[in-house]
Amino acid sequence: IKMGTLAPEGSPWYDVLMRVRERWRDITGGRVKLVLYPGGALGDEPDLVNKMRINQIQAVALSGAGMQDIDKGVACLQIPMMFDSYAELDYVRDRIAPRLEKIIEARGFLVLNWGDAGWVYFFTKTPAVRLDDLRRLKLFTWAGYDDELQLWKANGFRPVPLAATDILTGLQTGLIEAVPTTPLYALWNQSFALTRYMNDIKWAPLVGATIVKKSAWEQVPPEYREAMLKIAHDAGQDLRGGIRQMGDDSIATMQKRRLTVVHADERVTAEWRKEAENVYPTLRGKTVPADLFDEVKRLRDEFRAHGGTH
Amino acid sequence: MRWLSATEKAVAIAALTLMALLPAAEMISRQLGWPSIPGAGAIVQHLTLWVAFVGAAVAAGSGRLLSLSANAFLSEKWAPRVRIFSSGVAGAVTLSLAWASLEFVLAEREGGAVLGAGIPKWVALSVMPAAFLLVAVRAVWSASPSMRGRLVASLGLVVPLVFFLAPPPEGSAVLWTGIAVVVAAALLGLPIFATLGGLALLLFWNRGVPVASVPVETYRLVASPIFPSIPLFTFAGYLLVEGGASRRLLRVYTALLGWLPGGLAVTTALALAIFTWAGSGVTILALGGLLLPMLVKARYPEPVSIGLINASGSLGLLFPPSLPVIFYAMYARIGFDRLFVGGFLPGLVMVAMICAYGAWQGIRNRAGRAVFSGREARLAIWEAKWELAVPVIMLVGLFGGFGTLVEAGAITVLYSFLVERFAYREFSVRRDYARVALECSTVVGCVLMIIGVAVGLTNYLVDAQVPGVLIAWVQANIHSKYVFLLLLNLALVVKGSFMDVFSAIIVVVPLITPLGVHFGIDPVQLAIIFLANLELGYLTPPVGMNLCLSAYRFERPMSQVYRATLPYYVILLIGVLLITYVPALTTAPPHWMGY
Ligand code: NA
Ligand code: NA
Repeated sequence: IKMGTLAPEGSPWYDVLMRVRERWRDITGGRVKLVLYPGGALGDEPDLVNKMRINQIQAVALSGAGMQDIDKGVACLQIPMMFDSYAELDYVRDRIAPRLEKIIEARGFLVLNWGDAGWVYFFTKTPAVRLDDLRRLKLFTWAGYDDELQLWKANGFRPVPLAATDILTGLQTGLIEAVPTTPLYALWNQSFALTRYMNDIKWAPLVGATIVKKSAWEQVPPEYREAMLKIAHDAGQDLRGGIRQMGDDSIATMQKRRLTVVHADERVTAEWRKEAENVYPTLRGKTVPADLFDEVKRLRDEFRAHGGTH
Repeated sequence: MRWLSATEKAVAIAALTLMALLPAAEMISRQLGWPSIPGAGAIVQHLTLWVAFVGAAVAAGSGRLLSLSANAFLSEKWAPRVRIFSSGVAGAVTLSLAWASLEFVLAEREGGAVLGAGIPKWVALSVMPAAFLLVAVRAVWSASPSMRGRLVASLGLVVPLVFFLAPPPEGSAVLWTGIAVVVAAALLGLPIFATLGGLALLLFWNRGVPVASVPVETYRLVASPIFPSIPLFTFAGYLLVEGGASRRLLRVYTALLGWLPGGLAVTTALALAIFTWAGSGVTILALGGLLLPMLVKARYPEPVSIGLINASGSLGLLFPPSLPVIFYAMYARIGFDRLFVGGFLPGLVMVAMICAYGAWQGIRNRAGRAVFSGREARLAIWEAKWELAVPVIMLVGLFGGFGTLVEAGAITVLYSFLVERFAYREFSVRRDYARVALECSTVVGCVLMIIGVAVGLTNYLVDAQVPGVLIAWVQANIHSKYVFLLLLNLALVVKGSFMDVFSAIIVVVPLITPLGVHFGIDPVQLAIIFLANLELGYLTPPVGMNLCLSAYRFERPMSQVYRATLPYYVILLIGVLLITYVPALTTAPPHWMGY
């Protein structure tokens, strides 16, 4: 089984995949061999998905962005201002995962495990506390997602759709002034050197998953499948804590290198939440399938109703 | 056949036009706060795919796909047979590529993605198998004037069936036989893209990896976000040359610099350095044709002049908007702005060295000098003012925060068109536009086809984890950064003699980037060493592009052109070593500018 991922060698994602590789080899007596192509050697996430479709590779470890190329449903875990904490996210995800997995299986793929890549924050060239501050800035959005683009526009923002490769140059030349991204990514691609301010509101989580092609999985001797799946699943669980810690650490690292974290107090956060919720009726059914949207919201409210003690 | 050929030409022209108009419209509507066109970015990326593939099909129709050898040494008895053989191999490879692309399109169709404006992605992709199929048919058709010859060549079309029906072979005998056939055909006139494609397909097939791995990589590259800038800047260059820009610009340079001792040599070097961004070829043909008679008339020896024109034709490679720099940046994931800043001083050093040698030759041969006239300088500048503004338009568009590189390219096309049409009135839409657009997409198609298939070969190297093996070897055997750099230069010089510039970037960059990290070499310096070596690549026999172009333009035998260029080659080689061993040349300016 050949697996591609953007995670660079030496990163925790990579280490976990290597651990899965070793344990799979051990329990199958070397009959299942996982070959890893880390660091985007085979291309960006859409390329990885394409290569999995033509069967050059059989598995991928993707972020929530690339997952959308497999099925839009995953967007339900990345609704802006829906989750306040990892506890909420975990509660909802553990319960909605079987449903998502069924949808993905219908597309011909199996989910080996779920993971995450941290929270998406707004990184800006000038301090932005309130949404109105953000409205003044030219905002990076992913090229190719028109519904989202129109949504930003309709709400008074100045979105500039670009490819990820244009982010650094765009910041340098002033084509964009604000980028929503995770701290780990900002540190990795050095974009934080050009965006000196980070608003500390958790905009949305960026999830991820390891996925294998069903046809390839069915070539694995049946007696090993369950044990292999459990190994992959447990590895995903172990990863969560590490990644989350790293997200926090990377903010500290960037602060040491002249990043200023702009604090949003209770009142401002409430304002963000209110504005985001005003957009939910448009999000629902357009960028997020309606039934999944409702289920996610119901689960989150259920968690909150129990005082977050599940 | 005739309506087919008319249709594909119309499609090529329309695709190129649309890919200039869409980004320009995006950039303008952004300034005015108008709504953006849904899916514009994705559509432009896929139009590039269309320009490349339809352009290549057109090129195949007129027998213009580039090949390594011209097999002029063959006797009259053997030439027709050799042609049938190489055409048969071309047919075999291209039909296999069509099949492989079809598999890719079908997989993509299952994914069901939509580009924007309601166009399914797989529809946009289906140009790949269609164009490959056309090229295959044309290869067989042009194998021979006789039906019998064509029939023999069409045996090649059966080969793909064998490959796809038979499982990958045990052992490597079949692989090596296949490679031997492809290499032999390459020496006998097989187009370059078919050579690379044939090798890639054989290697993948032998490893038991689906052959669709070749087109999936072609697609990844050609339809990537920054790639449209390559055809766009080329198109702008074509429009300018067609409207007579080279004549007016030359007048400016001569008026300003012609009075210096050796001034005409300096003029040549600077004029070509500034206007070779359009992919070099066009400029050498246009400017070189005007410059050679001027140089010879001023008593510069002819070999000195030809060598000077060839060498100067690659001097622009490090300055914006050099397409190889953009391409390298894209491939190595470095900001292209950073590379342009890093390449500026090294570029100047190389220009200065060539200028100095040319001027010295002028002085030694008592070459004629023009008399400086303030009036002539003013008039020349005034006449060329619109064209002198082209680099400004492009740089402001890009670095002024108005748009992306692709948009800057589109605006440059639009501006060049308007200037040549309305300010100089030397360009007629009805008479010239379709011809120029078609010529541009044909040339772009030839080049992009080679690049697109070369990445398929790189995909094999990555799939087979060759970079890892190479890195391990280097780490075990080479311990000094300077030894590594020397070996790198040596390897790049050798490579320059058999690989074109873009394929070189594609194949070599993934190999050297991790090594650069290992030896702690600044990525910008590594890039500039590599790109400066490419300047040499344009001048390295047998496939150095400038050598071929000038042999063709000045009607001189290749051997004479090689000899004329040799002194300049040595000078540029010294320049490359300077860049290699004085890192500050490349690393200091980006540092000052806060990168
Ligand atoms: Na540029
Ligand atoms: Na770039």
